[in-house]
Amino acid sequence: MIETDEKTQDDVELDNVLFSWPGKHPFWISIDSFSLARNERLFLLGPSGSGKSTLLSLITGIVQPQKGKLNILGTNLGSLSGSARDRFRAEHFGIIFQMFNLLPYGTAIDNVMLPLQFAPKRSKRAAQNGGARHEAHKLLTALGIDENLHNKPAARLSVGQQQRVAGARALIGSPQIIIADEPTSALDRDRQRDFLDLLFSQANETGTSILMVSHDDSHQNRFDRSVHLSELIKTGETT
Amino acid sequence: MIVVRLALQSLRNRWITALLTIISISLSVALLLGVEKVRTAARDSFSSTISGTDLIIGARTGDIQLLLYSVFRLGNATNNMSWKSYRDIAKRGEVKWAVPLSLGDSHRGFRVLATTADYFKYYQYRDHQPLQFTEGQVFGDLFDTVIGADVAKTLRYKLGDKVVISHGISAIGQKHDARPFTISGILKKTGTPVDRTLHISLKAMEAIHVDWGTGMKMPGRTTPATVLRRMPLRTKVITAALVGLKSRMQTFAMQRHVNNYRAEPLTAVIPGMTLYKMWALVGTAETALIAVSALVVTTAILGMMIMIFSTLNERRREISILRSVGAGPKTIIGLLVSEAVILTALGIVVGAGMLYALLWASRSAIDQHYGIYLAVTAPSQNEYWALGAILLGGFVAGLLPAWRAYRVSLADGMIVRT
Repeated sequence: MIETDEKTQDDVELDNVLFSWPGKHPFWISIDSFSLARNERLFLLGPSGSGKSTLLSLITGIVQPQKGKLNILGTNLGSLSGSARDRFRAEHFGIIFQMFNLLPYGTAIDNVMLPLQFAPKRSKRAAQNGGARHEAHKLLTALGIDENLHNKPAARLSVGQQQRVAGARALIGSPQIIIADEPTSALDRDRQRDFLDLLFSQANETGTSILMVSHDDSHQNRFDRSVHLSELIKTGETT
Repeated sequence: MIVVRLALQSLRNRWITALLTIISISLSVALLLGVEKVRTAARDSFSSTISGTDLIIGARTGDIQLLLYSVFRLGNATNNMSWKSYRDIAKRGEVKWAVPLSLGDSHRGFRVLATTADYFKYYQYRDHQPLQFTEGQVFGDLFDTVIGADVAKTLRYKLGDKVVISHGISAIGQKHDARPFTISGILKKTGTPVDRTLHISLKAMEAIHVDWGTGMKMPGRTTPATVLRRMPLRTKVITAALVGLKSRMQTFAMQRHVNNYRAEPLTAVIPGMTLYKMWALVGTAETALIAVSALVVTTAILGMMIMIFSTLNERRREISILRSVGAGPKTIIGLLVSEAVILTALGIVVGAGMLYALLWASRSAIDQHYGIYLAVTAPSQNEYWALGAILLGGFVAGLLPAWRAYRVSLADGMIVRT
């Protein structure tokens, strides 16, 4: 696989990346240099509009930069075709949004298992101990979702429960990197701490790096490193 | 597979719009198939009504009109032809057989046809099939009648029953109630106007009009049946005649001869050619009907496309979630296209089902009232092509919103920007 040079290689490396959005209100962002080390927990602080969603779209390969190099787990994303990038994202990333993470009509368990559809290796890993479905149940239970909610449509769960289901989805099959975009902002303070505790302990078990973005700095001291987005990203309107 | 299940669940989540879309597609499909079915059934029953007759001869009139009133019992003759001309033509060497037909009376909405016993011998329908009796036989007595299958079924007549014939073809015409007829035979179902006809002899036709003046019964005069039986009843005019020739090669010459007949202006038509002329005439209307139904189908498919487009906005999140877990353009486009194909396919199945149920339920009524026998058969090749085209239309209609959804998901990046 990709883990050829375990000691020196970072999980994520960005080098002189420039990206500009087309459309009615075009703007660009540029990142001189950014890296996320293996097993690192990195906290990115910044308000919305600071280019964070663009940064995450770049790292996960949903959009491609016009300039610069993106190395993820030793793979140059620019060298992959569109469908290979989709596959790459499915195999190596777990993604949690601020809210509306789940397909509302799907059951919790189906939502958790969804990424495995697109990621054969991850699917195989998830199936190692008693099958993928069993693993999904185990993760949901570990994240504090009651057994009787597992087969309920996601729309019937509370926001806090939905975020934890999204956490289980990000963790299933042990992807290398978890990207979390304001995952706790829809939760109250106690629930935020619980959620992060669960996420961290699960990520510890699987050796997963975590990149979390938030405008709220209250949890930043729990991370290995914290960076302010304004130090990292330059943005501007395209003229 | 989870994605397929989620697609179905997504559809179930929007079941009202999905159901309405299916209904509108199925109605349009039923309309299209129905028009096609009725069209082919009408053609079939028209072309199978007469077979083995080379020429139909009547007083000078339009080709199509002559065919319609003589064979299909549609409309009325404007003129009669004389018995003398009929005999003259029937005696010619080319003629193998000739059967005179006299129309004008009716019984409870069914036409009465006066003819000779030869009619049952020579009249053929659908690929040279002769008429057959389920019960009884050809009229023996002057006041015997042979009835068609539908007459017997509708009016619940059996052999030996007495029927009274009305003058003219309207149900309120004066009745020849002094001379009831006895049913001597019932014909087997043919799927042609014969089923809705009562047959009497030409002599009987004369006999029931003995005490009549021009179109009116003369009051106070009733000649007893015993006297009538002994009277020399001579037919003076008939409505038309069916003619079979010894050789089909002579058809055109014979037709020309009749059309140029000196003693009386006559018309001779070749049934097949006249039917063909009629289809050419009706063809425009058929094409228009099919075009309209095709437009209705197109509208229904456009409606589905609008429905899918209108859900795109609320489904942007759904799509961005799928993108984030690694679904590529194939999955996103496949999801929306398969939704369109599923809806169209369900519409087709429901529509065809509705039509067949309707056909099955109404075919005897349609047969009775319009004389069109709607066979409940599997779709013809034409219909399969039409259904295939509709399904393809649904597929294409799904592509456009699907492509747009994918473009939007690219522009959205990882997070839906609203």
